[in-house]
Amino acid sequence: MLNYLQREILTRFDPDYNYFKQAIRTGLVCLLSILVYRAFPATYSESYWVVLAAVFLVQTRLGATQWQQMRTLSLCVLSAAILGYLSGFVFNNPIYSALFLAVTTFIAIYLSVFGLHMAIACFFINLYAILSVGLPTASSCLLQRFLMILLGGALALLVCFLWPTRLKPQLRRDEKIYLRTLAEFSHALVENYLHPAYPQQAEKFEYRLHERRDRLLRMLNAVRHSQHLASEKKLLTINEQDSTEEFIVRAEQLFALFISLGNIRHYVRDVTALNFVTEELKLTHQLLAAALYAISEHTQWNSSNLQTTLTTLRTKATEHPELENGLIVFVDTVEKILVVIKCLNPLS
Amino acid sequence: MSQPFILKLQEHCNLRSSVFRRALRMALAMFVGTVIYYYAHLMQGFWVPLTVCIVMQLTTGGTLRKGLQRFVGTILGLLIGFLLVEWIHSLWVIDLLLVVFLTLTYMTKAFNLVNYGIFVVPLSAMVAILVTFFVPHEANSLIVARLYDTTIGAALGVVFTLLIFPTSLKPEIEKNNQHTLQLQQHYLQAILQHLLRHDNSEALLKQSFNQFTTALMENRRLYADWVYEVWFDSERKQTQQKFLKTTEKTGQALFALQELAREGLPDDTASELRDGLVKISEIVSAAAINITELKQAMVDWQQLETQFNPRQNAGLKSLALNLGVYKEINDTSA
Repeated sequence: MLNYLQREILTRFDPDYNYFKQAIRTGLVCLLSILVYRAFPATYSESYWVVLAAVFLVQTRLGATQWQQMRTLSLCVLSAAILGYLSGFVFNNPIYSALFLAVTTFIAIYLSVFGLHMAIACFFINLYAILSVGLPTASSCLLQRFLMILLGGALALLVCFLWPTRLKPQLRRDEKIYLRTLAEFSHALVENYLHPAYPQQAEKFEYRLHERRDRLLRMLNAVRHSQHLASEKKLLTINEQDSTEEFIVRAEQLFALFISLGNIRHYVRDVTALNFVTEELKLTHQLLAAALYAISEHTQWNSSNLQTTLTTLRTKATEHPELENGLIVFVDTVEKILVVIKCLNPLS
Repeated sequence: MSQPFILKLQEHCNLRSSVFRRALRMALAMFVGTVIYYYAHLMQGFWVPLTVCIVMQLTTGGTLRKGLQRFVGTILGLLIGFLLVEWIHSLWVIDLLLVVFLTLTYMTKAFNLVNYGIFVVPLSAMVAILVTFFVPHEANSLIVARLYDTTIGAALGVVFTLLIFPTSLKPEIEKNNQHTLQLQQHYLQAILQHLLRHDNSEALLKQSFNQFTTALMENRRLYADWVYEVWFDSERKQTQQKFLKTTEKTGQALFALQELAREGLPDDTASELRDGLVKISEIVSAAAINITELKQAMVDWQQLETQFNPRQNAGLKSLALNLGVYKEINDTSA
C-alpha cells in the first residue's frame, strides 16, 4: 500500500501534469498572500482574508481557455467578496444566519445543473458565505473584509499567468501524457497479473488495473477534447490537423493492443502457468514502456532487445502446450504495437 | 438571461429532479447545522455547516462514502498537523509548512476519484497549520474543536441524507447494468460487422467503443458509492461484483477483438468464415432480447469455436480465444 502511494505521488511530480501545475500555483499564491498579510499592520484586523481568499479562490480557475479561466475566477472573487460583505448584516442573529446559509447553499447546489465547472465555482463561493458567517467582525470592518477578498483574488489572478493555458501546446502535452500513461499501464499490467498474490487476490489486482485503464481512457478523452477545441478555434494548420487525427487513431489502436496484451491472463486456466515465461513477459512490458517514453520525448529507441525477447517467447511457446495459443497471440500483438510505435516515432 | 438558462432551471424545479431534492436537503441541513453551532456555543462551530456542505452528496451511498473517508482522513491529518505544531514554534517555519502542505494537498487532489480520504489527510494537516498561523496561542484548543465540529457536521450530513428525500443508487445501478449489457451487445455487433466489412462499420465501431468505455467507467464510479449503501446486504453486493467482473472481462476481450476487426481477415478466410460470423452476430442479437435464446444459441457457438480454433493464423487464434472468454462470461451471467 505504501509503495503504491509513494509511486502514485512521485509520478505526479511532473511539470506536464495539470494537478502538479495547479499545486505549484496554489503554493505560490499562498506564499505571496502570506507576505502581503504580514506586511499589513496589526490594526488591519481583516487582513487574514487575503490568505483565505487567495488560496481557495485560485481553485476556481476553470474553463478551456485562458480567457475563460480568468473570467470565471474574477466572477467568483467578486461573488465571494459580495457574500463576505452581506454576511455582516446577518451574523448577529442565529436564525438569519441559518437562513442566509440555507439560501446560498440551495442556490449553489441548484446551479450545479449547469455542469461540473459551475458546481465547483458555486461550491467555492458558498464556502466564503460559510466562512464569513463563521468568522464575524464589526460592521465597520466589513468593507475592509470586502477589499481584502478582492486583494486575495487579485493575487490568485496573478498566478494564473504562470503556465497560461494555450490550446495548441496543451494538445501536444495531452498527447505526451497519454503515451506516458500508457507506459504506466504497461508496467501496471505486468506488475499485477504476475504478482505472486494475484491468484488469491485477483479482485484487488483487477480493481487496480481497471483504475489504470480508466485513467488511460480519461487521457484519451482529454486528447480528443483538446483536438476538438483547437480545430474549432482554427488553431491547427491542415498538416497539424492531419497529424493529430492520425495520433488519435494510433492512440486508440495502442489502447486496444495493450488491453489485448494483458488478456494473456484470461487465456490460461491457471495464471501460475505464466511463471514459465515471467522474465520474458516482464522484459517485454518494460521495453514497450521504454519505447512509449521515447516517443513522448521524441528520442531514439532501439527495438533489437525486444525482438530477441520475442524470439525467446516464440521458442518457449512450443515447449508449453497450454500457453502456446496465448503466447502466439501475445507475440503477435507486440509486433503490431511495434508497427504502431514506428508510425508514431520514425526514430524507432 | 438567456432562454436556455431559464428553461434548464425550470426543468429541474420539481421534486422529481435529484438535484432539486439535494438542494432542498442540503439547505435544510445547513439551516439546522448553523442553528446548532450558534445555540450550542461551539468554538469555531462554522466547521459544522462547512462539513455538511462537503460531505452531503447526491446519493446516500455517496454521502456515506465521503463521510467515512472524510472522518478518517480528518483524524489522521489533524494528528499529523497537531504533532507538527506542537513541535515547531517558529512563525516562519509555520508559514513555510503552510505553503508546503497546501501544495501537497492540491497534488493529492487527483486521488479524489479513487479515495477522498487521501486528499483530506494533507488538507486537515494544512488546516491545523492554518489555525496556528492565524491564532498561534489558541491553536491546540481550535484543532480539537475542529475534530469535534467535523464529527457533528459529518453525522448531521449522514442523518439528513438518510431521512430527507433519500436518493438510493439502486435504480440507477439497475438501469446502468441493463444499459451496459445493451452497449456490450452493440459493440460486439459493430466489431462483427466490421469483420464482415459492412458499410459505415468504422463509424459505428468508433461510436460503440466510446459508449461502451463510458459505461464501464460509469459502472465503476457508481459501484464505489453504491457499495456503502448495501454493506448490510452481502448477497446483493456479491451479485453486483460478479456482474462488474464479467462485464470488465468481456470488455477486455472485445477491445482486443476490435483491433483484429480493424486489421481485417484475409479475403479468402473472411468469405470462408462469413456464415460463422453472421451466426455469431445473430447469437449476440438474441442475447440482447432473451437470455433463454442465448443459452440455446450457445450450443451452436461451440460448433463455431471448433471452426475457428484449428487455424494457424494468429489473428484467428486470437478471435477464438476472445470468443471463448466472451462465451464463458455469458454462461456465468446467464
